[in-house]
Amino acid sequence: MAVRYLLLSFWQVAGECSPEAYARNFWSLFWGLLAAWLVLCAYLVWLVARQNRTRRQLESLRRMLEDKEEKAQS
Amino acid sequence: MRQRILIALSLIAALLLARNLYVILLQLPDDKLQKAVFRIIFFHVPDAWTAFLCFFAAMVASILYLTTKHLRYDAFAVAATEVGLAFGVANLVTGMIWGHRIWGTAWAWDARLTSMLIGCLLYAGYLMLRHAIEDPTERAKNSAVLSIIAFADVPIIFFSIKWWRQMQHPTPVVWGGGSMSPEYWRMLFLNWIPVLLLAAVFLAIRMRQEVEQRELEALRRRAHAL
Repeated sequence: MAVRYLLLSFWQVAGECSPEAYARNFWSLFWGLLAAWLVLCAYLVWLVARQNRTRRQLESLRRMLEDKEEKAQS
Repeated sequence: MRQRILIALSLIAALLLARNLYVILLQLPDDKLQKAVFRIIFFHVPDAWTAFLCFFAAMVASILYLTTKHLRYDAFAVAATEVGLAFGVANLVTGMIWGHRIWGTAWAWDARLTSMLIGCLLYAGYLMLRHAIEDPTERAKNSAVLSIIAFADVPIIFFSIKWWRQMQHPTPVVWGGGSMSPEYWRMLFLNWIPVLLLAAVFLAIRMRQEVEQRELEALRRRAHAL
């Protein structure tokens, strides 16, 4: 259902490439919505990238500490 | 379990957004003067409300940190500030695109726009301050104070329309004396629900990161000690 709604909405946007669409300020709306979602998507991508980096660093530090502790015990 | 809740919330938000987008683009009529670009309001305003709510939550968490010294309040404050800033920037960008079409200029130095920009800069400063301080308790204390001070800008943004009358920004409907047809009004609130759900998901992810970051810092200290 949601996919159908989305497809319908974008189909409507694609069909609006006419002088009428310009007169209705439709393209400004399109760019506005695109910009809003781009900002939030960029933030989400940045969040996920940082999470992956932090987890990688955590993993390597844990391994390094385990190695050091094993060496210290032996 | 936590991961599943986040996925479920994201899915609900996506479904609601798809449904709202369909109604906004295909069912709601154009505004008489502004035509289709008026519909930006259904994202512009919920973004602003979400940003304000996040900044308020950050301020409350900062007060709680200063009174209890529990670092989990600090983690919540930084998560709420960062998420609020993302929505604040989205609000500014959508407003600029709307202004470019309707006013003929993307930016006007009126009180509403300027105070929102100052708010975003203050909260960006909050995030930069956190990077500059190494010690976790010192960092939490200083940033909590800054968060409380920065929140003073939020009521200024909110009431700027009432306090400074000669403005370009349209009169808001909430506490501003403006008016809007009931179908637009209903859609504004309906679209705020998925935006809020998204903010909650971002907040949960960011808080988890803060906990992992603390763990990382503790491990680094241990490694240095060894």
